[in-house]
Amino acid sequence: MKNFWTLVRFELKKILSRKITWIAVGIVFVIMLAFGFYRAFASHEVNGVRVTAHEEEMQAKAEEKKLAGRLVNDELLEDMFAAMATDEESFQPYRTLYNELVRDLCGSNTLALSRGSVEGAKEALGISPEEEFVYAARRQQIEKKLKSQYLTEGEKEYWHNVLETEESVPWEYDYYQGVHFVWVAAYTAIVLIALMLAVSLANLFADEHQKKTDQLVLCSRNGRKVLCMAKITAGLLFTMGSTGLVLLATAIPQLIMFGTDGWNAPIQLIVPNSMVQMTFGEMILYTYVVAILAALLYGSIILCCSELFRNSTVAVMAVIVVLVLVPMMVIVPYEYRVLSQIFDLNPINVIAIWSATDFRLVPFFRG
Amino acid sequence: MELVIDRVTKQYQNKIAVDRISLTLKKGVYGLLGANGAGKTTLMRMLCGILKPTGGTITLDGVDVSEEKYRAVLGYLPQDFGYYPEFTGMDFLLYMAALKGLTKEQAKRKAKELLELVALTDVAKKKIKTYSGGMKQRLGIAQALLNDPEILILDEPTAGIDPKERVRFRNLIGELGKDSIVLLSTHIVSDIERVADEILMMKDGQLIYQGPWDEAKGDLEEFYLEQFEEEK
Repeated sequence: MKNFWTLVRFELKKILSRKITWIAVGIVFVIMLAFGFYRAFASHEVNGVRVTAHEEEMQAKAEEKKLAGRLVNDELLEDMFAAMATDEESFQPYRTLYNELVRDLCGSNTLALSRGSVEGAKEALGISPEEEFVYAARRQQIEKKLKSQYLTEGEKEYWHNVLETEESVPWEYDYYQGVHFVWVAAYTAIVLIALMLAVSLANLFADEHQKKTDQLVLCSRNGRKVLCMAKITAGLLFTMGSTGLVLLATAIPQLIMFGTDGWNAPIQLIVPNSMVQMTFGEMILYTYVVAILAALLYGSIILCCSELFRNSTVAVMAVIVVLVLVPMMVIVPYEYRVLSQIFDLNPINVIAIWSATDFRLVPFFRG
Repeated sequence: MELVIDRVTKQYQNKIAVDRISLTLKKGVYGLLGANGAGKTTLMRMLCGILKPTGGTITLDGVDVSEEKYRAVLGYLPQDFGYYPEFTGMDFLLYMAALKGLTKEQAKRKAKELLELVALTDVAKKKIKTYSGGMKQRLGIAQALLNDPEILILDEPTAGIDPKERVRFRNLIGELGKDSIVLLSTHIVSDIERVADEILMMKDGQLIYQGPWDEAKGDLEEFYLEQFEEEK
């Protein structure tokens, strides 16, 4: 592989010397920064005083931190119902717990919430008094999902075992909005990264044909195998660099604005029906590793399209439609089991927060 | 050193672009003439390994055209060749040198030497997109010479170059023919008449004339034009 790294350097130069590359990376970078910082500027009036979304969130954080370290159990829920019955101010620390967890677990059964007590809610959902409300209601929701996702008996058995042996239960409450936003924003980031890579890399091979430099390249000693490897390496190095930059632009503003509180809290505080045994911190790391791998996959596909179509415009369109728009707009119902599962393994869907409640396993993990 | 072209054919669906051409080329300058569509560029692209022949073989001292060893001693200037607009002239030559397998030191030395030869030293650090047509053509000639090729294939090398430069390059091609096999395609018959050791004339994918040309045979341009007229 003579002159391999020299060629990689030149190929990187080709990518970086194009204005469109800088425009694409710049736009995505700024969008993700703005996505994180907009709360610092978005404001509205509360009782005649102008308050930014960030200030409001900080007030909510101060309230919610009063519950930090408490176990999510009937005792906490009793306190929540009591505060709810008292006044608005007393209820503030429990607002997120109520909205994101308890309401989610009651599902469509609004009667359970209207009872105003843990006992009443249990009665409405048919939960026995000895059981903890949150975990029993969650089990009901999970059972419904196991049915609706058309799981095999083996898969159901696997998840029942997980449910029985969960060590994170009972969950410990903490404020988690910062880490939650980082997790959620990864979905937007990967969609924009796919678009950014399509625009930046689609010309790497295609341009050689369009600009007629392929004639010089193909008749040179290293113009086939070595150059091809150098182009792929340069494309993937650019992919890793630009993706890393965008992911940093996604995470850092959120963490600066809201802090890292909740890093060690279980993700079930926001997705109670999930059986993925991870904390928010672990989930962020996992999501970011998947995002980088997904970007590398996208980068590779874009490079293949670039050579295959020999036209950067066609390659960009093919990649945007097939890798971004179709996964975002099409839903394959669960009953088409294999097709639906293959479709949902698209990185955009894997990174999405709702994939945490996808219980379908591939046979390898089923054993 | 012998470049053997043995019954080389290139067929595109219903059209035969090159029809069973057989040739043996040794050191010297070969002038390739023919009307547009005669198959000259197709033949040259096959000699460079860019196009795969439908039939026949091309070898240099037994080394097949598809081998890296063959490409290592090949220099090619295509007609209407592409460039990287954001690269400087120097970058372009260093990049091509890396593609041709030259070491960094060799590449730098050779690039400087060739930029001087083609009178582009002053603009070596300027982007190619700022070059005139003639300057780009001279850069193209420089890249073809980077690896001191044993086979040099030049498709319209003097197109767009001013008359003074054209004469200089014609002489340079003559010099190169002393140590290499140079295949020169151009519509400027006088250039070929002056510099070529042998004439190759193509029509409808076939070789209709091969051999040296001397004044006793008459005017080459007239002979060349006669072939067109016959076609009409």
